[in-house]
Amino acid sequence: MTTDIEVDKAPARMVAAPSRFAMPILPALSLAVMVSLVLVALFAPLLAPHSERHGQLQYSLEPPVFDGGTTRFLLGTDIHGRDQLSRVIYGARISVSVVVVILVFKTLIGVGLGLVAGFFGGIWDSVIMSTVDILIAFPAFLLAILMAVIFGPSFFNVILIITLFIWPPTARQVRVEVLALKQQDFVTLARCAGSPNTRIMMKHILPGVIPTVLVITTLQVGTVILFEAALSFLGVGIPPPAPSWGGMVSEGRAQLTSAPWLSIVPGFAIFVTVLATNTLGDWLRDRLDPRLQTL
Amino acid sequence: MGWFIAQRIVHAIFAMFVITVVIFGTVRLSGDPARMMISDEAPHEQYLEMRRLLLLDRPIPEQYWRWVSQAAQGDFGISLRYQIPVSELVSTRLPATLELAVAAYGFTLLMGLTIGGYSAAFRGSVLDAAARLLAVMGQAAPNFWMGIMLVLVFAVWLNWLPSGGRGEWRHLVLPAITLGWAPVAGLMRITRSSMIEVLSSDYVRLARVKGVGETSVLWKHAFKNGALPILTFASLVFLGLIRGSVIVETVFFWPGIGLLVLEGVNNRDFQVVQAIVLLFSSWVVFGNLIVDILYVYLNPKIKH
Repeated sequence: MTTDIEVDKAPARMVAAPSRFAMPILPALSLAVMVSLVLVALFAPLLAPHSERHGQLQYSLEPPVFDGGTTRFLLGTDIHGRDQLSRVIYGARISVSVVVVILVFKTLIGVGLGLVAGFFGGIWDSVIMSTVDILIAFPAFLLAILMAVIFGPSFFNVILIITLFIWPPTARQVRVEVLALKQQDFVTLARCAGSPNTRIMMKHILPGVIPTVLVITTLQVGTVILFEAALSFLGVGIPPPAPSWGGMVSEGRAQLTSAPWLSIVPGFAIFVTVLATNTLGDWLRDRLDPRLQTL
Repeated sequence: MGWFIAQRIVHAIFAMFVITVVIFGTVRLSGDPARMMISDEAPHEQYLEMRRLLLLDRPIPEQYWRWVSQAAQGDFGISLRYQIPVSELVSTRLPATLELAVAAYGFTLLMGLTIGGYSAAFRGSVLDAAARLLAVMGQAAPNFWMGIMLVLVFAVWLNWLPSGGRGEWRHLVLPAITLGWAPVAGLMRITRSSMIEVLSSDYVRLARVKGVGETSVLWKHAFKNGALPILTFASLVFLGLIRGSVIVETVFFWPGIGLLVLEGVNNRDFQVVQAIVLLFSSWVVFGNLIVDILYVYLNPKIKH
């Protein structure tokens, strides 16, 4: 009689942890999406059938092939007669480069400062962690708009602004990891053996924080893409005529009634990309670092 | 506990200081306001006169202080575009933003709590899986795109609801769903995990053994005890809505503060953008502070 109660008693947390979507097929599929996106970005000039910047006005607003169009323009054309498929392909290039550059910078800053804060403690810790707290509380999106208005929209500014607001969670988490690792026996041993601080940090502590950083970074891919897309949508991100997906949705909106595909397709590209990276990130988190539930 | 609250207050004040310095610094870096107020051919004396008039010849800290203290009294200067006080512009637009935020918040709470609660009660079921699929998809769709897709389906194709503007309740439906959608996923997750924890506790099992119905167990017995993290998250959600309103108001031409920011962006009206960023920032910082303090009061388990 009591079995039924026993069953739902103990494993409450264990049931909650591994996601139903953590089946290997979904992460594998997500990884495939991400890899093909990078390949598309790398080989954009070979893959794009037309120019992404120069249109032919006589082909303005051609429908895509699934909406009665021709195979000449598989995903239709915009009001300037630019091929949407080519623009989406080059848009992948923008998204991938924005993500890669930002995440490299944020990892360097976040891991570096997190290591220093956790390892040295004291004044370093106070200053770095106060900065982290304040930046996390910042209304990042609004300040990004203000900065973009003032410095003008450009690729460089988008990188700078998003990096500024994206590194604090990494630093915070790395610091926590370092505090735990610092107490471990192998660190004490290395210290007794006379290893200098920099060597202990690089050789003994840094490898221990890599899984956490990997999880956070994967989960932040989606954040960066959505951030950039939102800025570009508002006209303060990557400036036209560069085919940023967010900017394309914004441009296509004017023809929502006559050419809905111009709004549907680039937004769908964002959606699929973010869905893939989030799925992979969730899976990695469950595998490598289940404590990071709040991220 | 008093120490913790004092610490949070000092922290909030420091955060506001940094935010105001960043806003002030960014705007000042953008160029010389005196140059922008006069024509290029104007003589140098006129330029100096303008600088004196705008108090730009004073030391920077004094200028900063003047700006902050005036802003604290509700004086945000004159809109470069409309030539009326920014505070007037903001106060005429504020009701629209609040109306949208409240509607969106209602949608978020309704969806997040119900779906999260039932997913916890029937975990592993089709409903649970569908809810999580919904959450995962909702977090991946950019809100501006979702808004446009809703317009496409419900305004352009089906012609059920208006595509934008403000008016009767039908105008409110699509923007409220778009704005309220993003936090649904998070609220659902938090509700689900808190409720699962509570549902496996002894008193809930006792209630079940006594023969209390599942719905009653869920909302009467479990929810009251699992509510704290949910409430905390729910109050943070409201602050998040303020941020989302810029995008959603732009998509639906909703005449609130968010749309005013975008108009300011397009008109290069720094005064307006600066004022609204400052307002939104202070709401977020002090909102966070209030949530922190409430959390301490509501949760006797925390001993700082």
